[in-house]
Amino acid sequence: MWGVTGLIKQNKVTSSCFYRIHPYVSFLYFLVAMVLIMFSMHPVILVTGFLFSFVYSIVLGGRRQLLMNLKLLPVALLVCVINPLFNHQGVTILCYMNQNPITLESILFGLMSGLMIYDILLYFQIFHQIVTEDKLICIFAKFFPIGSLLLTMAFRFVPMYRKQYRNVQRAQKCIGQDDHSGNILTRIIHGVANISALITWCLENAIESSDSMKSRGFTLKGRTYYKNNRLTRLDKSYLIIELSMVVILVVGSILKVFYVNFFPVYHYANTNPYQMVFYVLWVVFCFLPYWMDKKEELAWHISKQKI
Amino acid sequence: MAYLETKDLTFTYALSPKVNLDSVNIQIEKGEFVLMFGETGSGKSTLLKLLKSAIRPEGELTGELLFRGKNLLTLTRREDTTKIGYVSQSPDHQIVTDKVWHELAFTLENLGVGEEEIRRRVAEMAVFFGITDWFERSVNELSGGQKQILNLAAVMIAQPELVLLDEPTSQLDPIATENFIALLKRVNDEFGTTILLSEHRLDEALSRADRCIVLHQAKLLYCGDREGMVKTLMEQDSPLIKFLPSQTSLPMKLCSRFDSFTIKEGKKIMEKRFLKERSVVDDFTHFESKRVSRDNTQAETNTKMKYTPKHQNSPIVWMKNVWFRYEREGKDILKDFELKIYAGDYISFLGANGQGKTTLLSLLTGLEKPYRGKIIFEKESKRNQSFRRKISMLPQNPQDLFLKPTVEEELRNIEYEFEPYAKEFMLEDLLKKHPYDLSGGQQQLLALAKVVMTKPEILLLDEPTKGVDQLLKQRIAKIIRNLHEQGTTIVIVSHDIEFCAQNTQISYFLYDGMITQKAPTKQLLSRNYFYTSTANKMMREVDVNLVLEDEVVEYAREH
Repeated sequence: MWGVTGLIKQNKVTSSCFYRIHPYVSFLYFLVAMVLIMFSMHPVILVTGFLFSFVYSIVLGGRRQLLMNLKLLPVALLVCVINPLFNHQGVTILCYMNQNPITLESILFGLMSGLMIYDILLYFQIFHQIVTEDKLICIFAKFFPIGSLLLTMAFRFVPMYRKQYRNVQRAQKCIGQDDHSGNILTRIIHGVANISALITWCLENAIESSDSMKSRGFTLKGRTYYKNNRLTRLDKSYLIIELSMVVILVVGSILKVFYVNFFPVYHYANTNPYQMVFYVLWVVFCFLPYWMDKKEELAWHISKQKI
Repeated sequence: MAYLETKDLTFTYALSPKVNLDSVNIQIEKGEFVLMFGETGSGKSTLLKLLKSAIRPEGELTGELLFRGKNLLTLTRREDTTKIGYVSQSPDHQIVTDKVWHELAFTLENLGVGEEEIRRRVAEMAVFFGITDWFERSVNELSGGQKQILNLAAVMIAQPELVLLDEPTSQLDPIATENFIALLKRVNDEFGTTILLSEHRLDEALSRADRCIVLHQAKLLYCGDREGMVKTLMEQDSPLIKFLPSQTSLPMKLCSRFDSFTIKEGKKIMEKRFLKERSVVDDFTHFESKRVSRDNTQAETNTKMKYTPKHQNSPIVWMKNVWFRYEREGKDILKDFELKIYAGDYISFLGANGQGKTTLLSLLTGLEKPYRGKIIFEKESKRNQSFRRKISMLPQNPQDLFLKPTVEEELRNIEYEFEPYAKEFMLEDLLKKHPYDLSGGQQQLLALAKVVMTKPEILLLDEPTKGVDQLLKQRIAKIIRNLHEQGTTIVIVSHDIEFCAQNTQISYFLYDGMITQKAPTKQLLSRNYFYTSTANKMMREVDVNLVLEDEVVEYAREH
């Protein structure tokens, strides 16, 4: 049902199964994955997160996204470099710089923080393509009904006000009251006049909006909140799978499987078999969107062959 | 007992010096399509708002309002919401949410309807109103016509018995208007919903109405069937006759027939009046010969225009092979566009929506730049002040121009000596008012005054008659004509065929970013079959060169 929203063209994003799935599923995925990445510095988590987000963002966005990803890289590198220069904790001293020790631990910490930031940046790249504004509203309608209605109205009115401001500016320009030329003082005067005109316009026309709301029964008791999508069986089964994985991952976090200690000595839990289970599970969870897309593609091909 | 009835309804707005409705008695039967009209400020909106409890204005009310025999004022909020729907003028400001589907569901959400029920009713309404294609869109992407259809659908979803509409088409172009009124009639026919529609353009609505209500200066002038309405207006020689569309007013004036409401009916009556002596065969040959002679005159004028240029000077604006598009990957709005405007021209651009008319104006004002081709302004290089300063434009929405809290300051903002302008634009009595408190037509006059006060050499007007009633339209036409006589070059973009035919010298017909026709306005229209004035559609088999109503009246005097 999210087929048309935002993007008119049918592209990689809107045709992917992960995009079409109920927002509960995709939102839960992003929530858990990003929280884990942010609060655990474990190399398994970060490296898997990096592999997934890098590959999946390019699957969705193609070459343009690859360039974008590369553009984001310097941010991460900066963090990598800055940390060892200013953080001198740790016991394994590698060398001195201006009489300050550079330690192995702080280099590792910088590396992991840089990777973490890069992961989060990439995840946001995917997030805003998959979880569009109206999906966010749908999620929050359940928990904050009034807030989500306000958000809906904001999405309605903010673009309209922006357009009107442009109209005012252009109209004034057409009678020679330009806020882009002349000296600074006249420019400021015209700018302020335009903004006050916009405010008047908003207030005046808000009366008509509020009339329309009143005449359609807003403020009656017992308002319900309608969502234009329902949880299908497919959504439910994905949600159950996802939730059970989340529960196990949470248990793992409580058992400190994903805990890493950098200072004073770099240390993470050993890779004994029972911990390996959690790591494998994380890898499976992290690539969930990818599996979902592949599974749906396969299901489509099989159904076609049956004909 | 009538379905909806007012008895001696008198209403005065709080703090208003004069009565806004003066002992109005109307009766409406269930399931009727009722059309209400009257000049601006005659009390149409007030009457509609009084019928809708949720938005009833503050003021002093006497007399009775009866809805199905009960006092309307005792309806509960919930009854008011479900039984009476209300659609207002502006397509934009009535919409509350950001998605089409959500807007449809909004009323039902307020009424506390369950999710499955909402889903069912939303789906049903979307199909009826043809919304399915844009069901999941953001409302900001819709056209004005689509928005107004959405507003109607969002009201109809509560399944009201009575729908009130306050000039719902005043912001729409003719084609969107036609669609909207047709849809409204379908609602009336298929659901039996009672419709009370207030309008100032009657071309579409009058032919579909069962009953007419005419208000004039806060008083009820007439309430009853259409023929009686026409007869009454004629007998009283009311200024409101100007509101009648040509297909009604011409048979009324020339043949004393009061029962013509569609072009088909009007055409039949007119042809009977003028072609009665001729037999069918004669008629055919007559038409053929007329056509031949017309083609000849056309050929003549065409050659004239080609070889003997009327203008000795060079053009003041010359658009040379201009190409324009808004986005790099978007489609071309103007294609290889060639146009010369000479000093003292009075020209209009006609055409459907989205064919590049408004874009053309923004290119002329310099708001946009072509990506290929040139726009050459005369003497641009010789002046140190940019020539473009002398081009002023009236935007489509007059409110875009308003900056100040009173009309007086608004005018003074442009020029200190504003009194003569205030007089010319009939704003003298309104000087202390807030611009937003003026009626649509008065706002248009104020905006036009502001634009004219900048003393442009070229005046661009984008839909100067949109939302303006017939009486103020005459005034605007006169003002523009005066400016033109004083030497201002005038360029109009409009959907108002009659207005252009009456006033402009030359018209261009725009289609798909190109000029497909260029001719003196009346000639251009008389050549067209569909895109022409109503009077011409009725009279084209009598004499194809008749375009204006006045010309037909003149013709009738001679024959």
